[in-house]
Amino acid sequence: MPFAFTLFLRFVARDVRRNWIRTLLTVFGIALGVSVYLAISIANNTAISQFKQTVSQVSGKANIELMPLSGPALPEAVLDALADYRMLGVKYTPMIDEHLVLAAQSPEQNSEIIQLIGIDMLADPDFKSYQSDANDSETEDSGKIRSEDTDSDQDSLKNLSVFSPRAVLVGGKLAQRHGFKKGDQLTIVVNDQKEKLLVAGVLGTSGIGGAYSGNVVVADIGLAQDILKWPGKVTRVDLIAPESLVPLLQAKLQEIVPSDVLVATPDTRSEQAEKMVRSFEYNLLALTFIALMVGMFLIYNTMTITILRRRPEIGILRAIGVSRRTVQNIFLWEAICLGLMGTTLGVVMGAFMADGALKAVAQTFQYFYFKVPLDKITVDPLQYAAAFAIGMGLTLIAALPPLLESTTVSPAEATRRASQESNVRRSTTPLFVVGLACLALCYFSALQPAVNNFPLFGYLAALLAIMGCSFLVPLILAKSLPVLATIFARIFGVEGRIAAVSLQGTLGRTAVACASLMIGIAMMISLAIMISSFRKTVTHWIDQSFEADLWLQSQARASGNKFGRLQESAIKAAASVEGVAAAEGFVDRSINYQGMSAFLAAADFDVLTKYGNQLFLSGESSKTVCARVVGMHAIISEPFAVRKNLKKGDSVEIDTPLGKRKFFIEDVFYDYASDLGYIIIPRDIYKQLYNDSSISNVAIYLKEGANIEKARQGILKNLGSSSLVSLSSTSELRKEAIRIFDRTFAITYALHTIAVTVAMLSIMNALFALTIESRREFAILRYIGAKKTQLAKIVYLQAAILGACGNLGGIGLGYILSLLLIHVINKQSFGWSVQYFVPYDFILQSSTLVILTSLLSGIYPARMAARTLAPSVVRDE
Amino acid sequence: MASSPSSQLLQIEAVAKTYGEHQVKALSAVSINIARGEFVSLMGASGCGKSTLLNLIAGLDTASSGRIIFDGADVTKLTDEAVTALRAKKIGFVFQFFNLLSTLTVAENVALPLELGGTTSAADRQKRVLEMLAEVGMENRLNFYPAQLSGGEMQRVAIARALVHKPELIVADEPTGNLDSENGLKVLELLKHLNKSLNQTIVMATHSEEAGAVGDRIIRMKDGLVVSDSLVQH
Ligand SMILES: Nc1ncnc2c1ncn2[C@@H]1O[C@H](COP(=O)(O)OP(=O)(O)OP(=O)(O)O)[C@@H](O)[C@H]1O
Ligand SMILES: [Mg+2]
Repeated sequence: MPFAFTLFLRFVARDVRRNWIRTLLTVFGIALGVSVYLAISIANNTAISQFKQTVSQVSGKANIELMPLSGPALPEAVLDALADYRMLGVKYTPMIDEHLVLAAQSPEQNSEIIQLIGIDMLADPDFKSYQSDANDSETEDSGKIRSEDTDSDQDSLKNLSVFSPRAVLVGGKLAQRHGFKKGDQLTIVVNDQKEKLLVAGVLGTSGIGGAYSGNVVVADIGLAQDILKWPGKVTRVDLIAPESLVPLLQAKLQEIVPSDVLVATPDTRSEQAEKMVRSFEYNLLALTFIALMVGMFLIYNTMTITILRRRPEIGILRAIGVSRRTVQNIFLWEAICLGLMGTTLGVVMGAFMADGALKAVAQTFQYFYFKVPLDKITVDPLQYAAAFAIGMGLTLIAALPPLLESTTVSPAEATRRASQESNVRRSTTPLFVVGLACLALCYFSALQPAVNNFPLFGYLAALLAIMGCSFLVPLILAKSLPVLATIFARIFGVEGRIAAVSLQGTLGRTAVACASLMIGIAMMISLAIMISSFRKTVTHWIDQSFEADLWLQSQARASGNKFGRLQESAIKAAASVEGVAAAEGFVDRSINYQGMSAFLAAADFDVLTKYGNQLFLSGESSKTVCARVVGMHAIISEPFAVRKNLKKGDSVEIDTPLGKRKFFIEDVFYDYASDLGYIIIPRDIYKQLYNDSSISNVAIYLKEGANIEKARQGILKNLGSSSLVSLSSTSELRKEAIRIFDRTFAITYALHTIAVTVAMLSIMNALFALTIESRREFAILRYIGAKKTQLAKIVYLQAAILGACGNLGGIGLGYILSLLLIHVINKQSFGWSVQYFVPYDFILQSSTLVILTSLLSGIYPARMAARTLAPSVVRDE
Repeated sequence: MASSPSSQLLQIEAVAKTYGEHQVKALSAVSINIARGEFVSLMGASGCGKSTLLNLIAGLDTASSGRIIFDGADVTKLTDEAVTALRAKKIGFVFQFFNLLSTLTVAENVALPLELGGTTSAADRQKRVLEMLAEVGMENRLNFYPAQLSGGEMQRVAIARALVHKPELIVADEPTGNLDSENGLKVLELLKHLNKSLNQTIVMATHSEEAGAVGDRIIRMKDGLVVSDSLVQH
């Protein structure tokens, strides 16, 4: 065995094992950081890869796509222009790929959202890779209609096929869940109507049957159009062209298709999806990086204190003739070992936590971004490798300063009596200056704009804030501990004085411990401030802007299908009821605005002017702004304005079926419902441009003193019993909105809990380190005649001082971080203005918790101190 | 054993040492020659510069001026790496306070310089370690950790470690300073025995006249200067 390795085992590894409690705390700290990082990145990755997988399963071998820009669908007529390219070997097929509400099939079930895929069943087999690859499922002839003659031998069933009236194929997963088999009926909700479909067969798991994890209904395109009430429309046209022709064809096609049709590749959709969720994902990852950072500090703290403690012994090694390099290497291996243990444990924990993380973010992804099933994590070894690399990398970075410190130990230190203090002591003032410089840079960095909608400088500012505050700690402690010593001497007697003075004596270690505590606490505080500010803002916004008394929408939309519509006549039906003052129609559709998903909406601004209450950035009243929105004028939501860098007085150009149209931006309104962004235009203009008079929902305003229940009954009666609608009161809607908000923040709450845990870990770690350090001193005190209880008292007082200092610093740094999170990072990522709100009650509670934890983690060291046998310690050095 | 034909092992020429920001002059122009096989006692009041001089001899610290020729090489001109290698091969240490590594057993502590040299086989190493521990009377404490030993025992283990790799020179800085007189005497006898039987060169700093008299030659220092240099009449 090489000498250095033997030395590592004996000199370092044994020490690591002797101080196993600290080792455990450190390892667990790293593990926690790595595990949340891994869990979140797996969850994020699953969402994107599920989306991609679905794209490839539905599009088959298509290499060009025609996609709508002005809404969810494009006219089939575009196909006529493609006929000429057949000769070049280009094949194409129209396709429908849209949400569908599956009604509750029995009273104990809920309705659910599934996917409707409409394809030309007679089209070229090239498009139907999903129909021909039969050999991968042993039980089912995948894609092909599976005949279940064994179940039934009725003639009518034998003849049932996808070409029978209202007959569809059902995805395997869906069929399994509901027990659908050939010949069964299934009930769906389209807009405000229930409809029936017939099961013509069950699909296998490969090809299209596996798209959306098998939660699909596949129909012939004609039937799909009929189901959606989209005559002559398709959501997409897939083309297969010879590879060499693709670029040329793409350019050519763009010339001949209508201006609101985009010629793209299947990758474009995945790219757009990635862009759409990027802010959300980065934000989550950034939060996990805070946890990683605290893990780093634990490593730094543990290693620095170990090396400071072992200076004399390192001196002996050097005196005997061990080289600097060997000394550095054996400690480097310690870092590697701690990193390996922590990172490995973290990766294992992360793998277990990934499921939970996915559950926590799945609904957010599905509600706000795209509906792909997210019930199972996608395992990508790269993700694990990345988490491992990040864990190890950060560990080594954190270990660098203590490693350098280890090489500065001179062999002559072996001959000195007292172990030397770190260089920190001599450099408190320079460090303070560096800290101030970091904070100045942080301020400067916070003022920088986003880079490609990514708050790069915001994150940098956060890092600078953490570094800056850490560098301030030594001088602040150096100046305040002597003052504290006098105060403590008065209150707690001689023990109080010794507690403060000995912290002062080991300033380097005290500062490191205090800074790591501060960071842990800052993470906890800043997340708390961010969450409560967000919640406060959203609650306020909901209270203000949901002015109507009742909200009417179709059953399909209420069940989660954003395209569920009502007839325009519903507005009149509602308005004509006694007690109703006015009813306002609102419709929205998803559009593609400059390569980004957004919503175009239309509202009856005349009614809004009288009754509505939107909150505008300009501060102008809803009345005055809405009154001006007539003709080619629009209002846009704040996230849209931020992402596209637009403001009041600018204009937006959108693609409509009638060509490009420019709208003048009257004002920007606050909106926390979505970060994708809204453009709202007058509904009369919308009707002309899109030839669409249907509506998504109706806001109903009641007269003073009208009975809400009576009005509700009246409206339902007017609409007729055949119309399935949802009519909710504003208070129900508010509750729902808050529920969605809490769900969106569920993952943040979880991360917050982890922040609290890590903060407590760092307190325990810091205290342990410190008392282990003080053993010599305790031994001397015992010699002098200090009682056991006195030593314990000193330990507890030191714990309290550390806890309090870390807590104060943590609140300060947490305040800075929360400002950055709210006003820079979140603002630039999502475009939301959030009112700053400090949850004093939480800060009070957490401060109490910190002090309590400090005292509790003093128990073991205090006992150890009390047990200190004077001679053994003094001698063994 | 000797790589240099000269009988002089160590030549110290006008060495001075000034410490830190306060410009403490610990040594001023000290010149001493030490021959192979000599047992030199360095004596003087506390703070006169004994430890400083020993540290300079062993290359633990760097001189402010002057030359130190050890076994033909100028220690003051060597790189840190070369001095480290020199210590590993040719010098053994016994300090007053910190001597043993707390996480290593007695046997492991003693084996350390051999392992560092890396030339001997594991079996040879073990044999040599046992031999040395027997020499200092600690052969029955092989697997004890330093914390389980008495002060005198620790010091004897330290001497075994200083000797194990057959260094040219043993540097001992108040090896008895931390011990009672009985244990101190044992340590001194051990050093004397090693000097006589193995012709081991030793430089030892000490306060006590009694200890100093164990050596062949006494060099007295005062305020960083050599004030006398005399042979001991046994
Ligand atoms: N690292 C240092 N920094 C500053 N001054 C030092 C340092 N080491 C020693 N000195 C000073 O150098 C002088 C000589 O110290 P040295 O340790 O050599 O004395 P000594 O003769 O060994 O004393 P003792 O018998 O007490 O061990 C002393 O005045 C001491 O204050
Ligand atoms: Mg001395």
